[in-house]
Amino acid sequence: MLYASFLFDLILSIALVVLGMITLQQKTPREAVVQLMIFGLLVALSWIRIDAPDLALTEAAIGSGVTGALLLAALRRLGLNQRFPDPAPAAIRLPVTLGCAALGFLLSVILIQSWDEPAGLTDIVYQNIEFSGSANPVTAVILNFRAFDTLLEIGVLLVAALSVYTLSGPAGGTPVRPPGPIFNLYLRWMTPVFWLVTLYMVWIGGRAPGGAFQAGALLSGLGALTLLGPSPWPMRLRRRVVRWGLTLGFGLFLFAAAWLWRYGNLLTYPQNHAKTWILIIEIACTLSIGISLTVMFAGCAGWLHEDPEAAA
Amino acid sequence: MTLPPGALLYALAGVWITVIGLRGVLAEEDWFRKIVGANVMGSGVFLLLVALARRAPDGPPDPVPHGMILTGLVVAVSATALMLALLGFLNDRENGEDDT
Amino acid sequence: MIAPPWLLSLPVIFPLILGVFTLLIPAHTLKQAGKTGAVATAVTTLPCLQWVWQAGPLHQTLGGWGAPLGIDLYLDGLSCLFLLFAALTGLGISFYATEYFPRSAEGHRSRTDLFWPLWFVTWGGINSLFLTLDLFNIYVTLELISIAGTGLILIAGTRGAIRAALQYQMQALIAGLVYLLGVGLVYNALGTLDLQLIAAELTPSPMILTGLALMVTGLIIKAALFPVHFWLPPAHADAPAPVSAVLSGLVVTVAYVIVFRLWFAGFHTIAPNLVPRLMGVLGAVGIVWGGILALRQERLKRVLAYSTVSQVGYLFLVFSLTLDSPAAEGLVWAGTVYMAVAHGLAKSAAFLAAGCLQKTEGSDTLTALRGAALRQPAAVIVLALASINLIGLPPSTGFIGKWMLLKASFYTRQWGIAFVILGGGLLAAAYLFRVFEVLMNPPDRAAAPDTAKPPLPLSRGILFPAMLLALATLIPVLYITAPEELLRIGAPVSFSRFITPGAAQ
Repeated sequence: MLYASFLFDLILSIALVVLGMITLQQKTPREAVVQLMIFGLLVALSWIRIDAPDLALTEAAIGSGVTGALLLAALRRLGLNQRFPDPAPAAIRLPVTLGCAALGFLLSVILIQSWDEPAGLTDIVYQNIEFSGSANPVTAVILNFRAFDTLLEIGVLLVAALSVYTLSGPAGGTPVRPPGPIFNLYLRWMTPVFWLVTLYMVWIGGRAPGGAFQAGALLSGLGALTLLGPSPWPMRLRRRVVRWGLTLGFGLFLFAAAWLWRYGNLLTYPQNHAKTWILIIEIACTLSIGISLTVMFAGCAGWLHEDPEAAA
Repeated sequence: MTLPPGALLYALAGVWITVIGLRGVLAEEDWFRKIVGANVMGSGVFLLLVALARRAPDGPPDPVPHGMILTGLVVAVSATALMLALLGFLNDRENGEDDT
Repeated sequence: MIAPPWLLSLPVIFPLILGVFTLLIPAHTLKQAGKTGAVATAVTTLPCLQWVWQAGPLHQTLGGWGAPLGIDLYLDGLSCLFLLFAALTGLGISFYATEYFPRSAEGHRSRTDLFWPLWFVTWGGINSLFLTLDLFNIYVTLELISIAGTGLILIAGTRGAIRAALQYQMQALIAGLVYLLGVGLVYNALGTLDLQLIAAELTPSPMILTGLALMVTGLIIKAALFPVHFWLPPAHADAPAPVSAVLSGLVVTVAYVIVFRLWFAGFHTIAPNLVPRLMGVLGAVGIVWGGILALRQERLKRVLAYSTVSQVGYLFLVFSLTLDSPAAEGLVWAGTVYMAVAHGLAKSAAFLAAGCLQKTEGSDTLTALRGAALRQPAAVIVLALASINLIGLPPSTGFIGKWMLLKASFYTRQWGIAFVILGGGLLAAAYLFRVFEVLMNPPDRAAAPDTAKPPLPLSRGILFPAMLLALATLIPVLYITAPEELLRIGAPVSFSRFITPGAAQ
């Protein structure tokens, strides 16, 4: 049993390295993207093996799913069938390869040598988890103990979406193929389903793997469908709903932070109400994460519109 | 003979994926490939950190690195999206109208 | 005396709230909001100054958990000085930007309107980086300001800017991952992310040393030390002028300040001597290399961007200079801080002036700017005041800083560094006088055909903030004791042999 488990880990870790290498050796961008998505799924599998189901879910949704969708959207715009240009001259490649290999050896030796001296915050997290308002330790870390990081991270998503908006084309880039009535019907039926699953994922994140990021990634799937539908509203920053939706998570988080100054330092939740605060913040963030990722998708595909009046 | 723990294998895999990705970014000329390389490198760093969180043989893994990686994943996807949008926009520009 | 709970987080949270606010309000009100918000943001740093002046360093825990579980903010004289520096620079840049970017018509929203949310978020991130003690929080915040920085460059909308932004974002992502890898190793060796807790437990084990080396490498890329400066000149030169000022004056400085803080928090006690020597050598080479390339540029903003590469080099001499002689530590330490502040203020002012010249003359190529001193005297005066700092001439802060470094290099007998400091000043003089020669020369009417560009009308007040920043670099000469006293509060180095330039003369 022990051997079987060891063998599985050995094969998977070797497969990961090989797949990573193959991904970067592909001749065409399309093959590289497909390889990268498979690679992402295998990384998620390995994270289940090392007891990180939260992360595995996120990696599958964001690392493999969303990133893959972004790459494919960009690829469609860049031209699907192009090949990579010739690689850099050996004079550059060789020293870079040697340097990277040296770094790899150094890190490997250090890891093997100092593997048996674990240090970390596991104990202290579990000692405080009952006061955190979440039974899921990862949610407790990101939304209570280290909520300031997450606040700034939601800021990263907002800022990235805004930066993508600076690239709006005057004519809205590549035109989207008009969808048929069946698609519209599908969209109308799928919308509530997406919302339901999203909200469930946020709610379950308080106890089990799940949470705002996974749910937000899911919501961006609905966003991507909306972009193809009859009313692709995320394409225009001028639309008030876009601006409010993008800023809801960050804005509410900031508001909570400032409001909570009443109870102590920044982001100190009042006793016994931490759970409510976390849930409200998570729902707002989920919404904004979904819209931000949708905007990024539209930006990669080249679908963002600029106001014709402001094009000058 | 005692077998090395599975987490160590994944940590070593993480190290090598990191350097493969880094090499991809530094040694390739094509921007699309560089972006793919950066994503591979990111996965390697995250894999290494997740494996390090599992170093203690018993008990639950350390949730703090897990939180860090969750953040890192979002940063990586944001940066990737921005770079892809940039690349596409640049491509449109170079095939289409001249500089404004 | 108990500090109010908002004291340290207000300068971080307030600009972030403004970032959201400026995205939601109607675009035609942005000008007013930008000015008011900038003043208010600058004011939020004053309680910090008051506190640190009266009560000394301050430690605050976010979320009420405290390190190692939570994230801590820490204020000392150094971080307070940099907060004030960011406040002043940010104020100048904001007022300038209200005039520089066209106002959107009512009900419309253009690309340039995104300057405000992106800039206020950047400002909040910069303030956070001066205060935070948490290594991972530094990573998130650095990525926040890098992505915002990419968006800010993109506001220019030209093809050059887009290409520069792509390179900028790629270096930021890779540098961030290298830094994160280092943080991961340090965390796994010591079990905490808090800088003060880490500093208390540092041992030269392979894992910690490698982690620290990776962290410093990532930060050095972001601070654009030679030879990893390649991304800086296009990004800083092709961005809109207020953005160039933000990136060159503030963002590069903040990346450097993190290296500086980490180093003197304890890294210097365990790092092998090779590391500081190497950083010193790279700094010295960067001074010369940046200077030589600045001399060969044909565009004013390019000259200024390469000048940043050169000036960043000076800031890295400190690691080598504090190596042998602890007695000179305080001198070098403070001198470097003065250099950083002087460069940040002067470079921002210079980019703002360059932006005016670029707008009014239609281009920032040196040929187009021939004789601009006659047409735009105010911009050229600002540029001249900034140049005094960059060259290191008295009576500027740049002079004080350079003088202290020079003194320390004599004191520690590092003649090579002394030579580079002097030579770098000459190089700066050369590349800047080359610009001034062009600006002062009357246009050659016979050779240059009359381009008949109608001068772009700029509001009269646009250069006032730039002038203010340039003049601010002269304050320490009049009143050196105040910044010096501030710096001493909670300083990690001994000031036993600290001698002010005034006292030595």
